[in-house]
Amino acid sequence: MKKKSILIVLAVLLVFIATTPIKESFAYFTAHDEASGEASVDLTWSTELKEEIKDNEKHITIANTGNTPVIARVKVFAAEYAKITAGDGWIENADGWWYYSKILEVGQSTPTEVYVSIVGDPEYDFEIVVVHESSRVVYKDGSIVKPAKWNYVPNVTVA
Amino acid sequence: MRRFNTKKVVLVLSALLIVLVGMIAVLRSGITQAALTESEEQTLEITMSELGVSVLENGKTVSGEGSLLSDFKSVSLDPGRTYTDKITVKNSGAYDEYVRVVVKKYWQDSKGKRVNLSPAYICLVTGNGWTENAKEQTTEQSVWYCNNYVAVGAESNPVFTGFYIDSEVFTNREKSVNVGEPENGVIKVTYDYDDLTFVVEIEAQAIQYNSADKAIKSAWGVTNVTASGGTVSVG
Repeated sequence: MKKKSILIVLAVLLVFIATTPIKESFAYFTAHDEASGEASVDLTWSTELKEEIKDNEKHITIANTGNTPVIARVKVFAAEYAKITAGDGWIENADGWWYYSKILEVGQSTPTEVYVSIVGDPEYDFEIVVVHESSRVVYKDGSIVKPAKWNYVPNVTVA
Repeated sequence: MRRFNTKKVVLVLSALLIVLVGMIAVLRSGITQAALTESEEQTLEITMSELGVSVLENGKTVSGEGSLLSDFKSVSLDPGRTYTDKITVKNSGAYDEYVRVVVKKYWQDSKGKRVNLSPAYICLVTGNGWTENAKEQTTEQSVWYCNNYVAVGAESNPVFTGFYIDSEVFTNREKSVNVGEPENGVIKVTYDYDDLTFVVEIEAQAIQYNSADKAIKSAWGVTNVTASGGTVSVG
């Protein structure tokens, strides 16, 4: 009887050992490759106002002295004796600013000028103050973003 | 006639059983014990073909640090303007494979990585035939799976066709200061993202075509991506 019990126990143990699952261990084929790089973002821009007096007229241009395209505008403050005109490409807006209607590329000056001439016979001395503003060209959805407080930007579409 | 001693039989059988169990346990656990032996050295060389994958930028293979975006190193990039830069993956191995790319992007200055600035302003224009796994996405990282397997020697559809810097970077104005003489009133504006470089890292990863489902789970550690019959599904 004892012998039979021992044999049963042994048989059970052997069955248990034989059926114990072997832990799976697989290796898979893989490969990889890496590449990285960087580029600079320069958010600055720079322009310079140039004024010349010729034949009793003030000639105004704006030069792009920075590293990126810009848009620009000019405003003249003077007495009623001052008459302001401009060459092709300048647009006078109701807000009193003269907007250059094209993008000024790097190193480029406005090819045409804003003129301030004296009309009539002034009865007093007065100053002519010229202010200019520029903004870096910023695109969103293919169009130039209008800077805050500006009423005009060139109508340029970029892919 | 000599009779068996039952106790002795039990002891012997138990000892044999313990030895047997021990041997099986050792063999199955993968432990290999080496004894000090002397033998002739026999060498058998087996050459195995491997999987291979390469990153291509505008059709040219790029690999390693600084290899990407090389056409834009001397360019002043206009925020909001999209620049064409096609990124694809090529199967440069000897077997068909499934591929994915892990993309990391961030800002850095001369001191290193700027973790306080948003990688979201570095925008990559995605191509067709790839699916992003949103479950693996972080602020800095995105993971894209090629929808179809890539055959030996073949090039995938572009995962990215270009990039741009979101013009919203201009909303992060740091300060406006008068940099000229007071009477001239020259105002200069500076921004948080000025004078920085942005970095893009692309890692292409490939996995075997056969048993891809198990391989994806095991090697890539993702459970919501399946592959069979040459097609990948991202759940």
